[in-house]
Formats: sequence, C-alpha cells, structure tokens
Amino acid sequence: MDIKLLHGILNPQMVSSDTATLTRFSVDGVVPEAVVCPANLSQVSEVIKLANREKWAVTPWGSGTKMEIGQVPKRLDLVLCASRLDKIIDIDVANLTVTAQAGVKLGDLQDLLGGAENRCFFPLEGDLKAQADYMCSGRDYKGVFLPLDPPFPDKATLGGIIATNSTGPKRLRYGLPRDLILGVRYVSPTGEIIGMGGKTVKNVSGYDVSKIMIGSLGTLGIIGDITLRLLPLPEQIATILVSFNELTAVTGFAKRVLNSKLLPTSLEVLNRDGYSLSASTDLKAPSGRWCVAVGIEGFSEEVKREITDLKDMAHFEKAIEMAELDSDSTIVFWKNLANCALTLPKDGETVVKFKAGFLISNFPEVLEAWTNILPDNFCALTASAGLGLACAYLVIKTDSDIEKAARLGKAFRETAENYGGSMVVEFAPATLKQKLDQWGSPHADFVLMRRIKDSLDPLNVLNPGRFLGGI
Amino acid sequence: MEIDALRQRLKEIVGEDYVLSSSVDLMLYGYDAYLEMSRPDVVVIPENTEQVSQIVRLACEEGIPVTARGSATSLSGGPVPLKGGIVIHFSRMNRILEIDTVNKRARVEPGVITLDLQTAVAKKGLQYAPDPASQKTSTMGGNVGENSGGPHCLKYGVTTNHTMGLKIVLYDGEVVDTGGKAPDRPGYDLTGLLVGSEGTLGIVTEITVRLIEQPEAIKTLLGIFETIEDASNTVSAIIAEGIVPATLEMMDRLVIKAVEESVHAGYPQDAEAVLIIELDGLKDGMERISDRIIKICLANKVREVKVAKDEAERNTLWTGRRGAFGAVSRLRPNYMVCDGTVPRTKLPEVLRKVTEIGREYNLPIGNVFHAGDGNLHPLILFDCRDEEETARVREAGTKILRLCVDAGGTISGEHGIGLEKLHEMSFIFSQDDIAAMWKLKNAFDPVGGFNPGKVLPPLAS
Ligand SMILES: Cc1cc2nc3c(=O)[nH]c(=O)nc-3n(C[C@H](O)[C@H](O)[C@H](O)COP(=O)(O)OP(=O)(O)OC[C@H]3O[C@@H](n4cnc5c(N)ncnc54)[C@H](O)[C@@H]3O)c2cc1C
Repeated sequence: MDIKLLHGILNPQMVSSDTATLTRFSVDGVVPEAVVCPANLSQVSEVIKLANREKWAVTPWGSGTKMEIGQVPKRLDLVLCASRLDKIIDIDVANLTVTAQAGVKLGDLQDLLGGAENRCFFPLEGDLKAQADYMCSGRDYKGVFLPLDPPFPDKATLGGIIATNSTGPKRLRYGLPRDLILGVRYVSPTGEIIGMGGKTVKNVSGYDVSKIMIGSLGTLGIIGDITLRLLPLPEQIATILVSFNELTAVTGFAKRVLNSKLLPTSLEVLNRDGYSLSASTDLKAPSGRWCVAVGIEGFSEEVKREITDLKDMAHFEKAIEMAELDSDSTIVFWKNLANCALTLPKDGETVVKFKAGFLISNFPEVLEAWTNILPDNFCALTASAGLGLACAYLVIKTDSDIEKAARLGKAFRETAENYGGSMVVEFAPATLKQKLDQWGSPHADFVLMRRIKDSLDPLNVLNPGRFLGGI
Repeated sequence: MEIDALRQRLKEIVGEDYVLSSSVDLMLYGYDAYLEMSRPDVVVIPENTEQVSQIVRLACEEGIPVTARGSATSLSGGPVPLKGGIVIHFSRMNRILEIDTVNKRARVEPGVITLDLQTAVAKKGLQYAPDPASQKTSTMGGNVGENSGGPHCLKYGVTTNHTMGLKIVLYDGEVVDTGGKAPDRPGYDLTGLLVGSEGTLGIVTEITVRLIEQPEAIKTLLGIFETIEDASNTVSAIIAEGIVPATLEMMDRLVIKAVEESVHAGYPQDAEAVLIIELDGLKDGMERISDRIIKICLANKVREVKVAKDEAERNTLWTGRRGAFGAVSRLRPNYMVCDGTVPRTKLPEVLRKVTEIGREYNLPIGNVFHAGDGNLHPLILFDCRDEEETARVREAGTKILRLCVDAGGTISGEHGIGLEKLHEMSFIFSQDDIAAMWKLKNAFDPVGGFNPGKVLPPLAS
C-alpha cells in the first residue's frame, strides 16, 4: 500500500501506520497497513474513492467493541475509524429527534439527552411577528432519551450500534434501531455521499435504504450521521426481581406477564451465573436457580400498578424470593448486565458470547435444552422471554478450551434452529471462529443479499468476507 | 409474444375464468385513487404463490411488465400499469393463513383486507396496529407496498414496524422468504427494504405481521379550537410535555363542515379546527394525563374539550375522521391529497402557508391529517373535467410539497411516490441518492419488469 496516496487527501495526523497503532486496530489478528481517522464525510468519501481505485479492503471501526462480530476478514488494508466523527449535530427536544455523527458514544449522548432542558420551540419560526411567542413545556421533570440499551453503552458508538443492529433488554417495549431510525447519511462503498430520510417521523419517499444499512456490519457503507427518534424520560423507573427453582415456574410467570395488559420494558430470565453478572455490592444473590428481572418505566401510577400485579403473578407461581429495586439500583442493575462481558475474563481467559433468536412459543424448550447441555464451569444465560432471544456467555481458557466451546456452540445452534430460529457467535477469539461458523447457514433469500452487495460494492471494498455467507 | 398467445398461456396457469381482457375490464384495472390512468394488456387473478411465480416467470421470459394490485386505493398511482403488460390482482389470495396467539404473529395472503385482519385478531384479544383510514378497503399487500400509516401510528409505528417477514416472488419467478416469525435472522434486512417499495422489487405473496395486546383502557378527547394555529401548537405542546398519545388527528373548518353534513359526528361547524386526542394503555394514571392534556389545551385557547364517555361516543368522534375523505369528495368532483410531512413544530407555519397557496391558486383546500406525526394531507378540491383548473391543482400540489421540504420535511409521509411525485424526488434526493436506489432496484429486478415507471425517476445521465 502506498501511504502517500492517503497523505494526498488527509492531514498527516489523521493517518497512522506505526506498529503499535496497527496492532491495536487489528481485526481477528489480521493487521491493517494503515489506520485513518477522517474528520468529515467528504474526507471519508475521498478515502473510499481512493480505496476503489487501489482495490484496498476497508474496515470501518466505531470504538471497536464489536469488532469480533463476523468472520475473520478475507483482506484488510485500511481501517477507517469514526473517532473524529463525534459531533452531535442537533438535539430537538420538542420534536423528539436527535441527529449525531456515527462516532458519538451512546453513553455520552444519553447523558446530554437526560439533562436536556430546552423544551421550548418557536411555533411560527421564520415568522418575525411571532418571534416573541416562545412555547415552553411546564413539565416538572426534564430530559429525553434514546430508547436503546445495547451492550457496552458507554463505549459503543452510534455507527457501531446501527451497523450491528445491537439491542438490549428494553427492546421488548421500545423496539430495534430499525424502529427508531429516521434518517442516515453514509458514504457508499463506491465513495458517494448518500443521504436518506430526515427529521420527520414518517417518510415513504423512495426506498427505505436506511433499513439495509442497519445490521449490515459496515459491508454496504460507512455510516456518517444518523437521525433517531427520542422519547421523553419516563416519570419513574423500577425493577422487580423474582427467583424460582423450577424452569416451568419461570416460564409460567413469563407467560402470565406477557398475556397481561402490563407493558414492562424488559423481561429477562437469568440463570444463577447470569444473575451474578448484574449483581453488585448492594444486591445479594437470590437463592433460586433462576431469576427473572422485569424492568418497568412509565407514569408513577402505572409503575405502582405494575409492581403490584407482578408481585401477585410471582406469588401465584410460587416464587422463592422477590425484590423491588428503586430507580438508582435499577440503573446499576441493568448497566452491570450490559457491561458484563467486560468484567468476566481473568488472565488467560476469554469470553465467548452466543446469541440466538427463536420462536417465542418455544422459549421453555430452548431454555431447557440449553440448560441440559451447559458445561459445569461458568456459563451465564440471559434470555428475553417476550422476544424469543437468548444469550450465553462462557468464560473459556484461551488456549485449551476452543474445541469444547465449538462443540457447545454447535449444540446451542442446533437447538435454536430446531425451534425455528438461528444463532450467531457475537464474540469469540479468531481460533474459535475457525471451528465454528459465526452466522450459520444462509437461507434462500441470501441470493438477494449477494446481489445487493455486488451491485453496491462491485470491487468488494468494504469489510470483505466478514458477513453472512462470506459477503 | 402476441397478446392472444399471452392470454392463452395465462389461462393455462390460473384457469379460464381468472384472466380478464375485455376493454371494460382493462379500463377498470387501469386506475387508482390518484389522477392518472393507463390500461394493462391483461389482468390475471391467481390463487396461490405457485401461480404467481409462473406468471412472473412467463412475463420475465417475454419481457412483459408486471404490476401488482390490491384494492387500488393508492393515492399516488402505485398500481397503475404505466407500461401496460400484466396486472396481477390479489382478490383471490385473501386468506388469513394463521393467527398465532402465543407468538403474537399472523400470516396472511396479500389480498386480505386490512380491517378483516383487525377484526379477526380482535376476537382473540389482540390487535394489528397499523390502521390506515382506508382500512375497510385496502389490502395487506397494498399496505406493505406503500408502508401505510394511520392515526395510531404516532405511538405504534407504521406498517414496516409490524412486518416480520415476507414471501416474495423474484423477477425470475424464484420464491424466497425474508425474515419470519422468529427474530434476528442474520443478514440484510430485506423485509425492511421491501416494505414501501411499491411493487417495484418483487411480488409479495405472504406477509407475517406482529400482533400486540389490546390496551386495557382508551380515552378519547376532542379539542375544539378557534384557530388552526392554536390547535397545532397544542399538538407540539402535548409532545413537549412528555406525553406521547396514541393519536393526534386534526381537521380544519372546510373538512369539519363536510363531515358534519355527511356523517354528523358532532363537530361544531363554526370551529376553525378540531383535534382528536386519544390515550391508550394502562388505566392507572390516565386520568391525570388526560387532565394535563386538558390544561395544555386551555393554555392554547381551546374553546371546549369534549371527553368521550363511552365506546359509542368514541366511535362517533372517529366516524368523522374516518369518513373525512369521503365527505370532502361530496363538495367537488375530485380532490388531490398532498402527503407532505414536516417536523411537527413546523405545523403552524406550514399550514398558514398552505392556506396562502390555496388563495394564490384560487383553489379550496381542506386539511385532515396526522398532526402528531407532522404528516399533512391538504385536500385540494377541483373538477378534473376542467383542464385549466387541473393544471393549477398540480402546480399548487408541487408548491405545497416544496414548502414541506423547505421546512425540513419530505414529500411523502405514507402515500408513496408512485408516478405522482417522480419529479419531486429531486427536491429531497441528489442524483447520487437516486443512483443508489437504482442500484438496489437493479439488484432485485435486473430486467426492470416490476411496476416500471414508479418510485424512481430516470437518472439524468
Ligand atoms: C380515502 C382514503 C384514505 C386513505 N387513508 C390512508 C391512511 O390513513 N394512511 C395511509 O398510509 N394511506 C391511506 N390511503 C392510501 C391507500 O389506501 C394505502 O396506500 C393502501 O395501503 C393501499 O392499499 P391497496 O390495497 O389499495 O393497494 P394498491 O393501491 O392496489 O397498491 C398500492 C401499491 O402496492 C403495490 N402492491 C399491491 N399488492 C402488492 C403485492 N402483493 N406485492 C407487491 N406489491 C403490491 C402496488 O403495485 C402499488 O404500488 C388512503 C386512501 C384513500 C383512498
């Protein structure tokens, strides 16, 4: 690679090729030849056009929290990092939208949004006569939020979250990134700056291109900035923890909740190891083998009612223990769970994460099957009862446990597939990926995915070989 | 291929009775709820996916365009067969295949009428959230084609947010499933791209949708306002207050009057605007929120707030909204709906300018729209037999869309581009943007057989 070509379009401090940096930005052990951190979309566009001319393979990089997702790269010449694309462009509290660049960290954005006070707007903007008539809200609590709670909220960037379609427990109530995205500006694999959508909450003008950018793992474009829907911060939040010994009681309880009129934000089933991930000093471990964590958000009357009903339901299913977390403990609890993979491994150990989606109706069967094949040592299960999702976190010895982990992964996948679903390997060392396919086998619709990739990225410049079916 | 030979081949696929080609039939299948028409060469009414696949394969081999058609309530020319060819009508593929109450999913054929699905799932205590005002007539296939919205989409999202998977027939007759009942199948979100693609990427033969629990309680309020600005400020103020109701629907004086004359919904005829506000969810806390909304209305100079006391009163309030388009069409022979959308705080400004445009072009304009979404529907009334007036209507429509774009909005919130707004696509998209969409079109439909002439304007090369 001729680094000078990059110097032609970027400041020298935006281009690195020293060994330390290159090693830090290696992907599954594949070391790039250069790392660039452009400061705006025009520069990204120039870099990508150059990459097309030179036939370089480019990997976009948010903050690297999810770089383990995907196959070992086929080729990697250039890492394009989003760290300088870190501006929050517009927070519009009255319209409940935010526009920010891809490199903005979710945690930073949430902090800002949570304190956003300016709920005023011009009813007749542009109309000079009416300038004085500001409208302001009289609400006595402030703040808005982006209803997304993916893993590593403090580190993960918006671009990375969108590119991996990353979600957390609150998806039960608030949906996926795909339900929140209103607009996106990105650099296409051939280097054009493309803009779709905007600040309106409804938009059917042209194809909904933002949808295929979501979850495409940087294979169809470099996300530049994103406009997302916000919600007002809830008046009150709480969490109910209920523990059981028998899986049938767990699923019985979950079913009760899901068939009721209650609208919990999350309904997570944790095994004992799973619970230990979210425990903190002020939370003692429950005595049962299973714990169900129900997140509740809303107006104070709603929260009160949900707590009462949930306790009744737990009673009915003969719960062993129940605890109610106040708003501070609620925040700590879910944050610990979201960050758990960071705190788990000790020296010489690695975390492996499997994530499966399957039919909601088969939740009991999947959980039971997984429990039966669990290894004796640590394995945390966290499963969303209302969504048909389950994650398993194993801690393995990096050098000696690979075979075992691969076997377990295959067994987990088989279970998910038997129940109408699929499983991806979200996090694993490269050695494990060689023994276990990250994505599973594609379905018949893969022919369309292949054609889309070939049509948009004819020279296979963006993240070659990392995605499903070798895209 | 000779047209007679084509009809013969189609009859072999679907049976003698289900291929229509009389000149009356061809005329009837040549228009929708927009202004243009164009006749197909033949109409075919298949019974299942396999037949659709054979029809599409034949069309592909012979280079004949294929346009899918639901109930043709599209307001942008979506199902109009611009280049002739085959129209596939889905009236026979109207079965609800499955209502799965445990997984909360339904699987339907594309010809199922939206309201029929809603009624069927309601019997099981569930609901399918998207509720286009045309739900009595529109089909699920058409809803997917246009990514339809409706009054309750403020809180629940539009068709795409509830579509989990599709069965589609590709340009060469291949059949594939995208998504499905289980979540998170790895790969690109093809379902998300197909929803709203107006039949230009593939033919949908089965739809899997998400169902949700019916809310425990519903509260419907009607605010009566002296000015349209007060009403639209109320909309923004409610949202800014941290309340996201299920609906915020507005009607202006012209529409109120038309509605009262036709369905008697109990709106005062001298009001400048009415706002339907509906809350749903748990009953707990609803009283307090409703009181807060009333306070906001009062702060914005509402004349009166009516609260529906029971289901019957609630239905009366809604009858007016649902019947609004129909009522307005009694005033003049034709209307054109402009579907511009703006960030909702811009509503007062944009509505005022819409009124000015009406004056400038000397055309009556009524407004009935999804105010909470910032989705305007100015209805321009006219008589299409008057060519000069019709030309003015088109100009005024374009100007209104321009106005929305200038206010940070877009040219269609829910009715689609069709053939109506091809020109206006350049208001919001660069040539590069449109080229990117063409690349997607070519990936799905390399022969250009599906609904040609829609959604994407040709590239200025
Ligand atoms: C009075 C009135 C009120 C309306 N209110 C609303 C409203 O509140 N919200 C809203 O969003 N819209 C509204 N509309 C617009 C319209 O009803 C919707 O767009 C509706 O979804 C169209 O459904 P349809 O069955 O009539 O489809 P059609 O008009 O027949 O087709 C619409 C598009 O979908 C495509 N299509 C149809 N079936 C298939 C298939 N099987 N596979 C692939 N493509 C297919 C067609 O080719 C066409 O491009 C209204 C229209 C009227 C006349």
